[in-house]
Amino acid sequence: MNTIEDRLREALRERAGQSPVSPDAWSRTLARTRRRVWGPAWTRSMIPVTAAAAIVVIIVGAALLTGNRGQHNEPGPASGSASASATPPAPPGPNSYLMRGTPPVTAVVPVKLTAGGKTTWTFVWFGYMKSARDQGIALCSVTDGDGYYGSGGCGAAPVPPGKAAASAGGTGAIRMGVVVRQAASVTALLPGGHWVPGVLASGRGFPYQVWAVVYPQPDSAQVVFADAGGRRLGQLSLPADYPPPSQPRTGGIPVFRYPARTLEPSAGTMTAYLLDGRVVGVRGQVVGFWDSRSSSSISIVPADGPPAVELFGGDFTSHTKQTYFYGYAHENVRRVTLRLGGEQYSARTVAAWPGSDLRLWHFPVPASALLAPHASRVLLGYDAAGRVTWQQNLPGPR
Amino acid sequence: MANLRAGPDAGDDTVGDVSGLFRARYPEMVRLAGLLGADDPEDIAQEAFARLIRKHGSLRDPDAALAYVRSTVCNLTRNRHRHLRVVRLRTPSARHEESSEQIAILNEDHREVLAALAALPARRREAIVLRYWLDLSEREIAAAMGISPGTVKSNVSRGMAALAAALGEQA
Repeated sequence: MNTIEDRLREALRERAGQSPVSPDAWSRTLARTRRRVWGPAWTRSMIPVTAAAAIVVIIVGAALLTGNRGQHNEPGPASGSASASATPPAPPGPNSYLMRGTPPVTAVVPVKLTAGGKTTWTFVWFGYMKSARDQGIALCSVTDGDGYYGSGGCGAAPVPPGKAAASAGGTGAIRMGVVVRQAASVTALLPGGHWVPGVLASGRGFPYQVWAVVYPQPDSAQVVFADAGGRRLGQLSLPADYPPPSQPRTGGIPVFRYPARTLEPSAGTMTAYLLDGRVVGVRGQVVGFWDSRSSSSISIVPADGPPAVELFGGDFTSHTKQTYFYGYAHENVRRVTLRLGGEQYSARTVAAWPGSDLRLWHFPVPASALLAPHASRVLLGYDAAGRVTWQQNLPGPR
Repeated sequence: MANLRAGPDAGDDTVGDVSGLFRARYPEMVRLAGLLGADDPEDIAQEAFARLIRKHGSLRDPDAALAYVRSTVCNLTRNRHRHLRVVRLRTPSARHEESSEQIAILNEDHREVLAALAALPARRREAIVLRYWLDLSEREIAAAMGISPGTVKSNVSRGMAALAAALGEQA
């Protein structure tokens, strides 16, 4: 008799062999990559090519040197403390993807970054992106350590006229960019008033200093630059970034329980949370739903604005017999109804968090009803008097 | 796992390099996403490779690139943003329906095993699929899942025990 491991391997092998692959998968993948490049064009004249790492000067904020990551009222004066980075790993080779795409025209400088007791090494250099040479000089970075796998990127990196600094994006929790030579310190102000000191780096041929800060995603941040006298040179506002917020420990409202083979293969509970200031690109409070497997659905609109009804549910797989429509609505919506042609699914909304002006709702819908070729698919919100206060047409099966 | 911001357009060299990895590994990543329970495995796999390209494929060697893509597939499958899918209310494509039929013709024993596997918590299911389908080491699984090798061992061990219990066997 086969062992359970043998049975498992055979089952996985058979199931895996039945996964179809589209013939146009590569072109579809490339289509996803057509995104804009960072920043406008820059025509600064360039510096002679030098690929070898040169003298490295890293200016570290005093708080970073002392390990003090506590709260400050203002960024302190520039420490001016300089040190050579110690024992970095080997720099990326000339055949690395990134270096081939953007060959260095400056030194390749290792920058040591420490956050939460973990150290990463980021190599930075300037060059011209072959795919976007007209964008001008670009800042490139490759990061190793702490799960970064040598990831990074390049972005056009001019400092706009009249400004002191610019952002060139970043990798993971690392944010970086360029700043004028007068800068002697960089500090990130996080929501809640916490200041996180950053790092300034320079190397042979660098047209600007490179700044880098490490702070937890998905926080937004104000990055403040100061000169050696502590005078503020400028600041940058960096928006929050993915990943989405982690599931809050408190404040959840169980909305409904779902049986196995509906939203997930096994049964579970859907819980709603009111999130504040932790969602990409959304100011203020938003609503998020977590199921008991920790899968999350986060609203992309503020909870204090339109729409009157926010829909989260409705997705299902080929194995699903039933799915759920669920979401939140504002105080003026007392019932939410889905009309699929002549069929109708509906539920009362229930009050959510006290003082939030929000209500929660959900109802099950058979997958077969969603698959049927209905002439119309409309989600409606009704007030207490039965008047339609909100309406959204939903697309049909694709 | 590194979570990367949108980067610049990829150069031809980058696309060329990634295309080789894509040709060699795309079907495997689709199958991985499918085994991990993705309802649209190709969508997951394509997004994972697109993220690699958008970063100029800045990984130093093919092994690192593969580890990155594998990890991205795991993360994307695990952390689906339902809302982003819901706003484009969708139904299974014809391809999915084919998959459903194919499942129906699976060996009965295999179907039982896969049903037990699907009932496991996501982390345990991931660890088991990476271990017993891709034959990855604990270190490689840890990198793909963003957890420690010790946690991998725990997830595999407990997952296999649960499978054994569900299937009426000794693990």
